[in-house]
Amino acid sequence: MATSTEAPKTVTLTTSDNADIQVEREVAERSILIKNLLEDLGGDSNEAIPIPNVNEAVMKKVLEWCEQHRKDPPASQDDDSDSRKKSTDIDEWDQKFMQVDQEMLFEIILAANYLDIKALLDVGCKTVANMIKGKSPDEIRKTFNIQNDFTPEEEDQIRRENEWAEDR
Amino acid sequence: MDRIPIELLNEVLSYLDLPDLKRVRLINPYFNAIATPLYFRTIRFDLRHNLQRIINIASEELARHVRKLVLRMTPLLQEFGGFDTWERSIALPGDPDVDPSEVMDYDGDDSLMSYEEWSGLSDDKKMALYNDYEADRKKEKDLVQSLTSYLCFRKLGCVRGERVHPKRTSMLTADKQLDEASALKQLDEVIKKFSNLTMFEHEPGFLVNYELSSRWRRLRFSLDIIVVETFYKENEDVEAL
Repeated sequence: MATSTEAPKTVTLTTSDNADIQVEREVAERSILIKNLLEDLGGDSNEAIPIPNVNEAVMKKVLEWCEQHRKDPPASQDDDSDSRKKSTDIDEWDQKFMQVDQEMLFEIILAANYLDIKALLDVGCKTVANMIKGKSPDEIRKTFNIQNDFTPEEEDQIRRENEWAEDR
Repeated sequence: MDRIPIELLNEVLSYLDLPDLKRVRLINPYFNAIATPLYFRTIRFDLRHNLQRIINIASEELARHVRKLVLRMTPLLQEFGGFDTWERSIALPGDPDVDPSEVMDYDGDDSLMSYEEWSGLSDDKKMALYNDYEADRKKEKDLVQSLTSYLCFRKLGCVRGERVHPKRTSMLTADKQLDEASALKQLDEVIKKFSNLTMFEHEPGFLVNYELSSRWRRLRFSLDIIVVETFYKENEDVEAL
């Protein structure tokens, strides 16, 4: 009979490409998804946790962020989604962390969303928002390799509408 | 970018301000669909300048996106009480008595007249301009008065709102009431079309852009004199809204 009630200090995560990653439980629990899974399994499980939506490269990157932010206080719940003009300030470490190619940036955002790591998701969204800020529509299209499939008439209509809400 | 689902893109765009959202609407139809509800969520307007804009918004698909209307204090044209005061108040760039730093001009057809050009005008021309100014001022004042008399507000969930100035209506003749009611009905109808409206706010008076109220066509008036010599009766009406 197992007598130890202490939770294991590390957990194993199995990524979508079947890699096993050992990580400290406290770090992994930055992910609410993993935290809930671990709680459901009970404290004494040594089973590997499958993360079928995230591959090894992205998971390692995400865990690097979790490691850095392991002691952060839990996210405040007063999520005021109605207040416009949210700040896009990002702290220095996170800014450096987000200096990756676009493919990886989007992978991180998707993984943070799936793993339920709110603070990382926010940093990712802010990073993309900052890539849009102050750019012309054409510059934004070039940045993200987006096709413009508007007709000239549709574009004119939007320009007209834009003026109606202008804050002048 | 196309791998990012709508709700996350929505999250990204929630960090942008209006000038950025305006450009995002022009990227492509997909981005337009996501940015449009954010862009039209809050509409600021004042009774003097932007009434037509909210009428436009109400007549399009866009009306359902509007959650909040913010009525700004209308910077009304000031009453000077006579030609002499009006003329003394004029403060144009190049005037030796005017501090150049307080004259903010913008380019375009309505850029300010120079002091030289103004000084060169004949008295008749100046008087004609004054008469135009007075006509515009009265028109504006009437508009705001009729608006404050008739504007009805519906609180969320209420069928019928209350008159803001119930007393005022009895002061008007029946004829005039009918006339103005039809103009006002338009605004009333317009507000009805914002089916998802949850808030109607009034921006406090101290945020008024006095630069706007000190300009008329290509003329500009010195603010000091305006503040000392005029009485904000109309503005109080707007404030009452």
